[in-house]
Amino acid sequence: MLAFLYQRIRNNILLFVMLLCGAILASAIVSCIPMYSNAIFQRLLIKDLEQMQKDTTKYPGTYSVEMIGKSREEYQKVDKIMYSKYASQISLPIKDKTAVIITDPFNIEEERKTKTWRKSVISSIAAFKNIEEHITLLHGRLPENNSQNDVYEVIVSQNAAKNLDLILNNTHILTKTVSYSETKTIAKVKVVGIFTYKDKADAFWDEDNYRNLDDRIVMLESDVERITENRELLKIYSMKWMYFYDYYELKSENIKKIISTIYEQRLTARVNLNLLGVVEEYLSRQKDLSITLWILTLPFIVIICFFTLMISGLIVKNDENEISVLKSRGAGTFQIFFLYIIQSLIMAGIAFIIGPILGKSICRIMGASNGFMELVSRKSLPIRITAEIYQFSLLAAAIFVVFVLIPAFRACRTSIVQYKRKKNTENKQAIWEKFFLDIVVLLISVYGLYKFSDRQNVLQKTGASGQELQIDPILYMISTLFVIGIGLLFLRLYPYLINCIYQLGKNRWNSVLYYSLINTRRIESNARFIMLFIILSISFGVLSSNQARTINQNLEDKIRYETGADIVLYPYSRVVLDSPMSPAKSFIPPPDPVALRNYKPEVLEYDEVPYREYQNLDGIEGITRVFEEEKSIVKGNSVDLEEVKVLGIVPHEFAKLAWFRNDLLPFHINKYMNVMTQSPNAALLSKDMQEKFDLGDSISIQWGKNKENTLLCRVHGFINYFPTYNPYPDNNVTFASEELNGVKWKTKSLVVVNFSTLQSKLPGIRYNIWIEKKPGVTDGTINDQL
Amino acid sequence: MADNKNLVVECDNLVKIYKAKDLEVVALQGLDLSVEKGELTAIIGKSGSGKSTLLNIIAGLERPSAGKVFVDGKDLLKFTDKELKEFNRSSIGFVWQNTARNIIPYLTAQQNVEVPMMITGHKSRSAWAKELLQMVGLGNKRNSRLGELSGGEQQRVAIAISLANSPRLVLADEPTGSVDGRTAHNILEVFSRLNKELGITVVIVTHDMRISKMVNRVISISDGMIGSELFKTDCLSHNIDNSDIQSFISKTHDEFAIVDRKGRMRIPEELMTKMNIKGGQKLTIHENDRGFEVFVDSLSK
Repeated sequence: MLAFLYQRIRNNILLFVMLLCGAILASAIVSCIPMYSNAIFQRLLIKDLEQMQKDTTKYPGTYSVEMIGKSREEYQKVDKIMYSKYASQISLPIKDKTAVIITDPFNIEEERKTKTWRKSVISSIAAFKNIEEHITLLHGRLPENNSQNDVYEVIVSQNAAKNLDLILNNTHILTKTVSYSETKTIAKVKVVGIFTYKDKADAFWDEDNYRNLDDRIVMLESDVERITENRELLKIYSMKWMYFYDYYELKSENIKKIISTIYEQRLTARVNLNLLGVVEEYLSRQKDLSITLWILTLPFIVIICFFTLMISGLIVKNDENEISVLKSRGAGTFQIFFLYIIQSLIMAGIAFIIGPILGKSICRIMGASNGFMELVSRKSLPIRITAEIYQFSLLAAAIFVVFVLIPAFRACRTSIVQYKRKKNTENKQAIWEKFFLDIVVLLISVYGLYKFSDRQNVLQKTGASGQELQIDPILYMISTLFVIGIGLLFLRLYPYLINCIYQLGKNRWNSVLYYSLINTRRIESNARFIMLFIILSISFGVLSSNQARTINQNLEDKIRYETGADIVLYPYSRVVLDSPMSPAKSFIPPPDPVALRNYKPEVLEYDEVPYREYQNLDGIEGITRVFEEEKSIVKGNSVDLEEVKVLGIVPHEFAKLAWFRNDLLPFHINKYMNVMTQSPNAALLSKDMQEKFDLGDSISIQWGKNKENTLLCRVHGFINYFPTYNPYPDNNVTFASEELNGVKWKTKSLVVVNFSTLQSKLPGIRYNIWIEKKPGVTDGTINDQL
Repeated sequence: MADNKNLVVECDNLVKIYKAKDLEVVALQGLDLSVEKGELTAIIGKSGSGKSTLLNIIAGLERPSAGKVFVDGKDLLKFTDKELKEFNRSSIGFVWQNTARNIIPYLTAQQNVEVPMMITGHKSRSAWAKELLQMVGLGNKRNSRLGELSGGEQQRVAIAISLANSPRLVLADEPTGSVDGRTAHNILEVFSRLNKELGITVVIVTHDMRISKMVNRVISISDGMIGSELFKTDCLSHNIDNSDIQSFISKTHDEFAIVDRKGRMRIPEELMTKMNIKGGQKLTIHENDRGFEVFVDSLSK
């Protein structure tokens, strides 16, 4: 049997190899998509977590389990299982860990011989595991455990020493107020050391851990156990276990599990993981991204299925004779079909194994190239083959097997007598032709297009964020369907077309043309298949590349529109006073939150670098000054509008420099600039203000903390769009056409005025500098000069 | 139904009608046939007379439109499709005229003989395959492929293939159609030997005149019915004219007109022209002391 199979494959070896290549390619592409999205997702996620750490100063990988108000035995019980039952469930490596025990509050006072009235302060004990590694001792030493002594050794933070009035090496008494007159002594403590944190950015001090020490004394763990033995005197208030995971090891495989583990653990305890929120949001976005990517590969999958069908059909056609021989020897339909099943399984098996490996290479190339298929140097993506990838590969292999077996199934069912007869009958119409599938498909795509443009209108009105919709899957599918429909229609009409050509010159064609025309009129069903295949592959290729180009272009345009010019500079330096962290009068970029967490910078002065110096920079094509103010109040016509954006521009420079698509406004932007140049107090208003103001109206614009800046202008025109102007900045909008009626959406308004007018009325205003680079100049050269 | 147990093939009033596009073709029109066990029979007839259809029906590859057919005592009409296939596999051996129908080109001769055994699921195939090839005289060529065998050798392999599942009945559709005289003789010798030594019933459909020398009984079909049968005479004459099969055979065989079960009879064509009778002619049958005689009524026109 095996020898027979081997001989069969060898007989058709070329076709088999082609089919195998198709299968491997299909498997590779199908594995590539999830691999790529996983890799991108992982990289973006880690970036976002890093950003989160910068913005909120919290370490994302912090995991904490907290218990409040339980008995000591319960704490001890949980402590034992904390690692095995909780922490180890999170499949990330643990960088560090700690456990914080906090006791109930008590009074603390200095032990004095004389009974002068002394104010007692409320404090409580905190014990941190591993605290020694995260603090630097300013004075004194670390506490030692000497259990025979009834004086506990403690250390306190700098702030605690100040707040609790604790002095080094002094003994203090902890007392508890039982009743109005009676106080019980809990224990005696001696402060042996004062510390501060070793590294403020240490994750160890997350969750306000350091702040919590401001009014607490820190004891050894073992001492806390001893001191709380008598529940009457002192109880443990809470215990918090913290584990710090290395979030760089977060991978797409373990994310779902981690999330579900946290939720599961939350049923029994107060569990928190800092990165949970970011990760959850990411999961939903990843799903959208996945769907989009899959739809993008749809045409390719169509082609591969087609290709498989075609080649398999050829193989079966070659085997027709052999099938009839086998049938005449009494082979059953299923027996012959079984041979094909085995053949296809062999190919599918090879493709299943090799496919993902090839897919990984494709991903790597994709990750290292830009939108136009040029290789750029970029940090490589973390691409990995996981079990999930193999699932996709398996699915691809299964679909491949189905398509391979379709022609085989049809062939196996004919008996030898039927076969002999079939060879001599004329070719019937193909299935799709009979059912006019091509017209149906075309109609579906046209309908889809109509629906889509409808939807687009709704979206525009509701102002939904363009981000998710850039690669609208519906449009993509419609295009794909359209291509298929047109291809089939062409095949149907093609003979008639040739016939027309033939009829036109019936008596004039030379013999070669005559013969070719007549022959081409009758297309063999095989040839038709190949023709359809070529049509589809070329059209899908062109379609995809066009779409990719458009998507890229749109993205770029969006960025350019929002920024306005190649480089936007804010040419002022900020001065920060009253801060121990930085010397006065230095150029500091927007403050680093980690460094300045507890201190409020006071900004006093602005130094300005003269505009002329910027104008002398090398490598710039154009430069202009632009005034931008986000929150201004526009008054006029007894109307008050708040939060209006104001742009002050130099029209002739601005028009040359700012990037703007000419189809966004009814007239070319230069015309608007001309209008502004002609009247110094001209103002252009955004379209949404058109209902409140009219051409020629006077308006006043005010901004500033005390509304000290005012400008009077005249309305000269209305604009829909302008560089850097986003009329719908609110991105969290759901688009449902029902909500559109009767609901007023918040739009941002814009007023454009002349910069020179602005500067002449208010000389000290601060502006941005917009620069256009000469072609070929990199950002680096400009940067260096600055 | 006399000699029931001894009959390998028994056909009763077989009718087969094909529908091709808008045309209906009646291939068999009430054909009766019986073949005894161990016979070596030839069926001759013009093209379009229905020989191949008859063979297909006997082999179980087609179903008749009407009539009865029993092969090896089994009623083929009572078989389901699956049973028919099983029957064809185990009881029938088929040799086609075109070698492309018989042999799979990229397999060796031995592998080809093993294929039918693979289909029915027999285990130890190679021993029997070798023996079969030995029997047809191709023991040393068992590892040759289609392209390496001559026409005659290909047909002999085809015969070996047909015997792979030890069938009771071997059917051959023009086995010597595409080979020359010498080779045809070899092929027919093989058939003859198999028939004599193994006792396998063989039915050959053919044009070939040379077969008649080997064969005892020749059945002539025309227009979908049995026309006449010819049986070998004991005396042979040496001056044989090879040009016309009918005249040739008439020298070595005696021709008998066959009356079918319903009493119909076919008068051979030359006899019709000799007797100057056309269709619609009245005949009278008289009984006399020698038996029955048929007279043409010369008076009626």
